[in-house]
Amino acid sequence: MGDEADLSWVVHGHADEHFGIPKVIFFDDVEKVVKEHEVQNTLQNLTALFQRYKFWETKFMKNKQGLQQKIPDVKRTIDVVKTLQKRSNSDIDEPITTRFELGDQIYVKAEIPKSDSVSLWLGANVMIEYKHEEAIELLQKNLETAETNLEHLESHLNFIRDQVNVTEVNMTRVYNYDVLQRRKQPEASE
Amino acid sequence: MSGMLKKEDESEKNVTLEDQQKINQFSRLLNEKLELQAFLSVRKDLHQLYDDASDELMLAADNEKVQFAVGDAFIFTAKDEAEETVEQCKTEIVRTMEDSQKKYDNKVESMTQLKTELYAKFGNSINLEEEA
Amino acid sequence: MESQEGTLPLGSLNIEQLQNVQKSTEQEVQSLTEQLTQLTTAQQRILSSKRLAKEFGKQPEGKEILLPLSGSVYVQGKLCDTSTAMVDLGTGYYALKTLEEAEEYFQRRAAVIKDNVDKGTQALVQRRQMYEAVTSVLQQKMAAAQRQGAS
Repeated sequence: MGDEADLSWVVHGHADEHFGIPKVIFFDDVEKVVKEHEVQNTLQNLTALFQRYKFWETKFMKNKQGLQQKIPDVKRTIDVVKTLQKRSNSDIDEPITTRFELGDQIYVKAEIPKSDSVSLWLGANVMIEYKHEEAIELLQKNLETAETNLEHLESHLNFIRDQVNVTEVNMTRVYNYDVLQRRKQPEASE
Repeated sequence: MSGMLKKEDESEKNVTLEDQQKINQFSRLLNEKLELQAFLSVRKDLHQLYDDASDELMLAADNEKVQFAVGDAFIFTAKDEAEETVEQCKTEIVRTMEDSQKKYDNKVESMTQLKTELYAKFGNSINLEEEA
Repeated sequence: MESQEGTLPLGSLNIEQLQNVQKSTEQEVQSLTEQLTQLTTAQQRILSSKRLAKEFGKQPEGKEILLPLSGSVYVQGKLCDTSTAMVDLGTGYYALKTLEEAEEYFQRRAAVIKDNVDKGTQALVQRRQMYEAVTSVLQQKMAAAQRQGAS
C-alpha cells in the first residue's frame, strides 16, 4: 500500500521543526512532472502521502483535544485555591462551610477552618501540602506549559494541513491535465 | 475543505505557488473561524447561565447563604459576595467575547478578500464555499 | 430454528440478502453491548452512592477529614452535618435530603436501571441468537454455491 510508493521525489525533505514530517513539493509545472513520472504513478504516490498526512492530522487533533480539556481544568483548580486564599486573607475568622462530593451525585457538609495552605494531588499517589501562593505558582506554571504545548500543536497542525492542501491540489491538477490530454488526443491522431 | 479545485475542469488556468499559498491561507482561516465560532457559542451559553444566576440571587433573602459552585464543591457564600462574584464573571466573559468577536470578524474579512482574488482568477474552477 | 422475530424466513433469502441481515444484526449486537456496558456502569455508580448514603450516617459529627474541593485540591476540614446529603438530580437541580431519603432515592434509581439492564440483556441474547442463525444459514448456502460452481 502506501509504504511501497516511492515518496522521495514528491517531498522537499523533512521539516525538522515539525517532527521530521515531510514537506510536499508544489508542482510548478504539472506537464513536466507527468512526463517524468507518469500519471498513475504520480497519483499513487500523492495518495499515499495524503493518507499519511491525514493520519498525522488525526493524531495531532487528538492531542489538541486533550490539551483543550486540560487547560480549563487547571484554570478551575487555580480558581479554587484563589478563593481559599482570598478568604484566608480576609478578616473573617469563621470557617468556610462547604458541601463537597462524597461520591457520585452525593454531597455532604463540612467546615474548613481558616488556613493558609492546601494539599495538591499531583498524581501517581503523590499529594503535597503547599501554601496558597506556592500552589497558585505551581498551577500557573502547569497552565503556561499546557498553553505553550497547545501553541506548538497548532503550529504542527497548520503545517500538516498545508501539506494536505498542496497534495490535494497537485492531485487535482495532475488528474485534470490527464483528462485534458486524453480529450486532445483524438484530434491529434486525425 | 477538501478538493477546492474542481476535477474535470476544462480550463487550463495554471495554479501558481502564490495561488497555492492563498488557498492554504484560506483553509487555515476557515479552521480558525470555526473554532472561534464554537468558542463564542460556549461563552454565550455561559453568559446566559450567569444571567440566570443573577436573577436567582435576587430572589434570595439578604441574610441567606447560597451555595456557590467552586471547583467540584459548593461553598456557602453570603448573598452580596455571590452577586459580586457573578458580576465579575459576567464582565470577564463579555470582555472575552468582544475580543474573540473582533478576531472572528477579522478572519471573515480576510477570507472574503482571498475569495475575491481566487474567484477572480479561477472562477468556477474553484470552490471556496464552506460545507454547511 | 428459524427466527425469533416475526416471520423472517432465512432459508428463502439469497446469499446477498443473508449477508445484509448478518451485517445489520452484527451492528445491533455491538450497539446493544455498548448500551448494556453503559447501563451497568451507571448501575454500579448508583449502588455505590446508595452505599455511601447508608454508611455516611455512621460517621461522627466533627470528624476531621481531608476533603476534595476539586479533582486535585484537598483541604483539612470537619464533618458538620452527618444527617443530610445533597443529591444531584442530574437535571441541573440538587435536592437536600436526609440520609434515609437519599438512600431511598438511589434505590429507586437503581431499580429502574436494573429493569433496563434486564431488558437490554434479553434483547442482546435474542440478537446474538439471530446472528448465529443467519451466519449458519449463510455458511450452508455459500458452501452449496461453491460445490455447484466447482462442478
